Amino acid sequence: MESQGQVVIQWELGLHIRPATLIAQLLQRYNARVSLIKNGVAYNAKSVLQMLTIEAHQSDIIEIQANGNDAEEALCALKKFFLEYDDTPYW
Amino acid sequence: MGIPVSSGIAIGPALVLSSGPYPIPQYHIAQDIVESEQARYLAAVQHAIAELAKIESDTQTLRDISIIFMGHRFIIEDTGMQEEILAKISQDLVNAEYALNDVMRKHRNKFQALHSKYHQERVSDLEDVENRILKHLLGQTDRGRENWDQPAVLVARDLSPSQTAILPQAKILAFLTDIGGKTSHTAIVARTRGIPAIVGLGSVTSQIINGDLVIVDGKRGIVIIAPDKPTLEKYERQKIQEQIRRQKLQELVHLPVETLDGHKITLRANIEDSSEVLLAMANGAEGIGLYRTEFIYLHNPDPDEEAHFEAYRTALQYLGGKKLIIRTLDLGADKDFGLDDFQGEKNPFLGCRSIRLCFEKINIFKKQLRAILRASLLGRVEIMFPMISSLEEVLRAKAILEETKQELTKANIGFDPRLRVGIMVEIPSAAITADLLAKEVAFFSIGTNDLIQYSLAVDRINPRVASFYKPAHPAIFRLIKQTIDAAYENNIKVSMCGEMSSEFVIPLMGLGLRDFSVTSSIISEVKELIRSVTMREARQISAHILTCSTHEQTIEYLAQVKKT
Repeated sequence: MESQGQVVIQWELGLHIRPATLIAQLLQRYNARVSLIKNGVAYNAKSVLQMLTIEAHQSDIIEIQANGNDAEEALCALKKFFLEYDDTPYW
Repeated sequence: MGIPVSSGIAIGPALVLSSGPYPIPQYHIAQDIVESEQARYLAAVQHAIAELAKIESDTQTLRDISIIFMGHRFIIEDTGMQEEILAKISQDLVNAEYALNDVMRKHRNKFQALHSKYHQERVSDLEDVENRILKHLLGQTDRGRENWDQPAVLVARDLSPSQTAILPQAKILAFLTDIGGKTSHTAIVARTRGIPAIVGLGSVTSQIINGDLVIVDGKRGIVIIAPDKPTLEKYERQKIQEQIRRQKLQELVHLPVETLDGHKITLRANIEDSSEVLLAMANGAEGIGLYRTEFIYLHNPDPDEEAHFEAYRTALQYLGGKKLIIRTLDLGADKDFGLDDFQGEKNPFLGCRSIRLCFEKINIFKKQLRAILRASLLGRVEIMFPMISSLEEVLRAKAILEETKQELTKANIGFDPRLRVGIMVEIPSAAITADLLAKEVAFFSIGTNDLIQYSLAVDRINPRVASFYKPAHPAIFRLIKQTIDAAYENNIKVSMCGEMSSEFVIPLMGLGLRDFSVTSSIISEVKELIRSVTMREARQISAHILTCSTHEQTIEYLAQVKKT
């Protein structure tokens, strides 16, 4: 099964270590292979190291591609994360 | 001068943290010890992982920071990276430290290639990971654990997440660093913990030596090394005043919003994104008085109903039963998110913006209305139409809302049939005919920024005419008073959500306003003003202001009242 989607980076700091870590953690639950695609290059969304090298700023659009038996669920969870995760530090 | 990233004044001795990378030994190894070298490396990795797990749990309460260490752990656990390093040891017959450094340098160079202004922070995460493994390989102790017998101003080239986490927080008076920016790790930690900080000072580590007395003015970004006595005394006084002020504002968060004689006032927050609700609540907001929904259109000129619904649902979830006033789309040529081509408009502020645009693009408008209606079942929602200039527009917007309700009913989708509908009063014609409009809506919200701009015909963004932008112009007070009076006569609610609510809150209370919505960060300050007067005094002040003939007279009078 293959599922695709699109998300927008809302966080002021872009896709930096905090969201990248939470994405990797979130995807541990799923079997699907999930890639974040930016400018045609795919990055493994289960690897913090790879995600950190995506140059993704606030307002940038990222494509998501998921392959596997639970691809749809993984995609859904990831989309929800991009929409809801609040990266503003609490001060 | 550096970049001020966390305000506050600190005075104390400097502690300069040794910096720079660990020296990396480099040598060839014999074929027969490859396995033991790899084992030595893997042992260091295991120690590093255990150490990170411990820091993660130690910093649990500071989630922003804890997550960073989880990220470092994920990087170390990355099997791809481990295989690269182990292969480097066996193929090139080099020692573990060198292999680690070489592989990590390749990854770091990938980051350096990024144009992002944040790449420095990302590189420092990788350096941090590398240094942690190196430390275990080399059998070194942590840096930053030295000489903390008294509170000090911490001076460093940059602070890695690891360093900030192991520093004894209670003993840090301030942070000063050579590099970094507003979003660097040091800046975030400093703000989170309320520690003054200046970053990007260039060469502060070479200008200050251990034990120097330094003054840090985190608001202005100034560092004074070895100050003379008068300067020191001046800053000590300032520091005390600041502490008192900060404490007072902090205490205010939990105090009721009321005048000295017990008249209750409602203070809500203006937000642009549902994630801001938490900050608003932390600052003591009684709900959201203005949700500017344009953000939803920022990334997509035609967002679907679900994108709207999710945003409202998130806000309501955070609000826990408190009110959410949603303003429908208020886009125009001044904030054109690609929704339309406004190129042809010579007069964007008088052009096809806001509700006018919605009338033109009914489908886009209805998607938002459907989402608001559906969300109305999840909490206390009210809807507000912007840019209303006449009664016809109110009726037309309401008709479209009715139509949308019927469509939902037909489709068997639930909503709150009593959803309250209000309008922004921000065009002079609406203020002047407020008595007519009041018959058709449940509330008015006075938007002062546009009301002033349209009444005085001044674009305040244009520096050549900015001095003509006068909030205290008698025309503005008269229009506001007329709107409030019409609301009272017709028994509907009236509130204000513009910037005037802060500086002029006292005279506005005197005119009869009991309900304000402001930016989260100034809620405590406005509350302080409200709590400083009786309603009787506020009425006297507004009565006097209505007799002033110019903006300047009013400002002068208010300054005078404040002093006494």
